[in-house]
Amino acid sequence: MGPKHWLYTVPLRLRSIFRRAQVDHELDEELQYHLEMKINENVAKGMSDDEARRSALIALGGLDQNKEMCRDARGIWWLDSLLMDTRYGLRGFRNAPGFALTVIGTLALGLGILATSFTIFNSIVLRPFAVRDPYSLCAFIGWASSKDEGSPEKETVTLPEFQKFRRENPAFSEVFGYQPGIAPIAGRSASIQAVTGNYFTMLGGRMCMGRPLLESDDASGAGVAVASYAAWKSWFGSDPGTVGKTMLLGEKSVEVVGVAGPEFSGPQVQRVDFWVSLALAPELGKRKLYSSLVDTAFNTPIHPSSSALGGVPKMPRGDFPQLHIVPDGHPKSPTCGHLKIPH
Amino acid sequence: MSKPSDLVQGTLDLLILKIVALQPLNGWAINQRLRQVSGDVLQVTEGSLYPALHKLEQEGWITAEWKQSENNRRAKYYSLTKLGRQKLKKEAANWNRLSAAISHVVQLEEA
Repeated sequence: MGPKHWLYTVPLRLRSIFRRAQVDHELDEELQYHLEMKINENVAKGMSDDEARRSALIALGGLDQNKEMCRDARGIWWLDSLLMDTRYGLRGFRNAPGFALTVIGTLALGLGILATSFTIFNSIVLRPFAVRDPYSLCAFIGWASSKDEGSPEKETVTLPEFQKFRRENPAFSEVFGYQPGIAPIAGRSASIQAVTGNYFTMLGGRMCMGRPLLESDDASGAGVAVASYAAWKSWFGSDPGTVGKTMLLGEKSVEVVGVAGPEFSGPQVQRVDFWVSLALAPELGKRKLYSSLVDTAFNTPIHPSSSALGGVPKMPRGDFPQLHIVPDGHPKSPTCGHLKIPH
Repeated sequence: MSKPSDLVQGTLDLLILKIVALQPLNGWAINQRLRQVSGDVLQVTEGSLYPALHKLEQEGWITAEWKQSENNRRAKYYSLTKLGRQKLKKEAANWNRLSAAISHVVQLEEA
């Protein structure tokens, strides 16, 4: 079937569709002609008029059936049935509007849920975080068993515990910690993360201007912040002189030392407006404890059974006789990024 | 009378193409001609003739034209197109191959 073939047949199909009345009329006339010829023949054979007519109709297999078959042969039956089905469907809607609305509502809800879940799936699974080597990242969390109950519970980690973990786990090239929170900045509610000074260097976060947070900020206890690109636009109106400005985080004065590149949003799904130095962590709500999560990256492949993943054993603390820092998940089936770690 | 199901699959198309290749004819005349030249052996039921004609027309192998018939009535005359001629050649070759093979098998001497 070359293009020449289509050149010839497409107009015929279109004619069958758009000039249906004429095509139908011609079909009528064609079959009528045949019928009359047949009747004449039958009469010539000596049949009565009625008999001749009946016999001719039978031979044609019924006029209407024959027409139907011819239409089928023209390959436009689908259009007919489509129109008929549509009409039938609309009539059904009119007769039972409640049912129709329920069906439409159900479909709309289903599609909506599907679209929403895909959006979430897409942002979490299909699009990895825009940080350097996202698949080598691994989230850790503290798990503690209380004195009276055996089953361990998720527990936040204090800064000394984090530092111990970082010191005593040589398997990881780098460990950073963070504490998320929401607090007013310059009078507007902002999504903030207090992060350890190695956050930007570890994740390869590029600066659009200024400098990232540094380890020296942790040491000096300085109150400094890096604005996200979006926050730079909305809080500072894309002011090129933003670096060096001070703003209020709650009661505290904070100096903006840098603006992150537009592509950088950190290793989490939620939007972050400002990253602030550790000294400002207490400003992020009532929790005095350090972040519940510890992110860890390792340059060399790590064997899942490595003892380094076992966390920091037995850290006595208050009501919790034991605190383990283990990969995020239930301690009985810990998962680590895309790694599944057998216990 | 030979029903279409008695005809080998696809041969109705071949017969129609061949008949209208000789001269443009209307449906009724095609049937008559087919009966004549086959010595009354082949007769297509009218029930399947017209759907077949419309299919062939739709495929572009035959084309239709309204003309006066011998008895001075308007009738739809079918004639072969260029594409139809190629199709006929191919189908006829196929048929010859098939029928020769079948004859060959049927004529085998029994041991």
